[in-house]
Amino acid sequence: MRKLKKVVFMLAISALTFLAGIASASACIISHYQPEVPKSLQK
Amino acid sequence: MSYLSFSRNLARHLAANTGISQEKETIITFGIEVLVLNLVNVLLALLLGLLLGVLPLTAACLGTVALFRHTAGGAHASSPWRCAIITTLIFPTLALLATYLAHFGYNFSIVLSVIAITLGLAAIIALAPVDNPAAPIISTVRRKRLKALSFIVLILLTGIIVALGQTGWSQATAFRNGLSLSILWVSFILTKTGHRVFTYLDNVNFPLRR
Repeated sequence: MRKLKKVVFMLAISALTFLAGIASASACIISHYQPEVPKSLQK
Repeated sequence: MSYLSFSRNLARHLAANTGISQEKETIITFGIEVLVLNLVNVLLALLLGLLLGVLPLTAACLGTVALFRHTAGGAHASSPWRCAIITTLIFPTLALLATYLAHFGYNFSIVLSVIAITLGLAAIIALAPVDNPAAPIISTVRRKRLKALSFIVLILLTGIIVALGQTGWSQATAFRNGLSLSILWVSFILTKTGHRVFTYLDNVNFPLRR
């Protein structure tokens, strides 16, 4: 069960990292607020 | 980095259970914030569109603005709560306005489309991409790519507007108006005046009554 939980968490982290990458690559997203892009993703 | 507490808490929980680095934790905090805020804003805008009877047109305006802003950028509110109010109100308002303007007929819709596309083109040439201190565009290569992509998006939207005119669909005029108004909205928030409007909205205080 603990192993499954870790796998689910790792999948969530991968999906969120992917989303963060897309969001940082665009000029902005749909809504009218821009969260601060982490320094490592700024380019 | 300033993020909302729920994003920080959820990212901390994920990090504690997987042992990821501090840097990675910041990235997923940003990812959670982007996901949740956009999801909430889109759902609220669609819900209001549904209540006002303009759901499909609200969705079309949302899609158009999302596509255009993705590459062109534009002004932002300083807080997520103000953003939620603006985002929730603006898309159903554009949809309602597009529906109302459809009563002026086909020729009016064509004129509106031409004005929107022309101003959109001018805004891209002169201003796009417009970045934000929270998400600066550092690379000149990336800046050029986003400008080129903005042109492609505008060409795509123009194609959709023209195609809508060729269909015999009864809602085509309203949808074409919706797309045109969405292009005008994005063009406006690329300008300094658009930024001033957002600064004004950021300074509006909502007094709490007891």
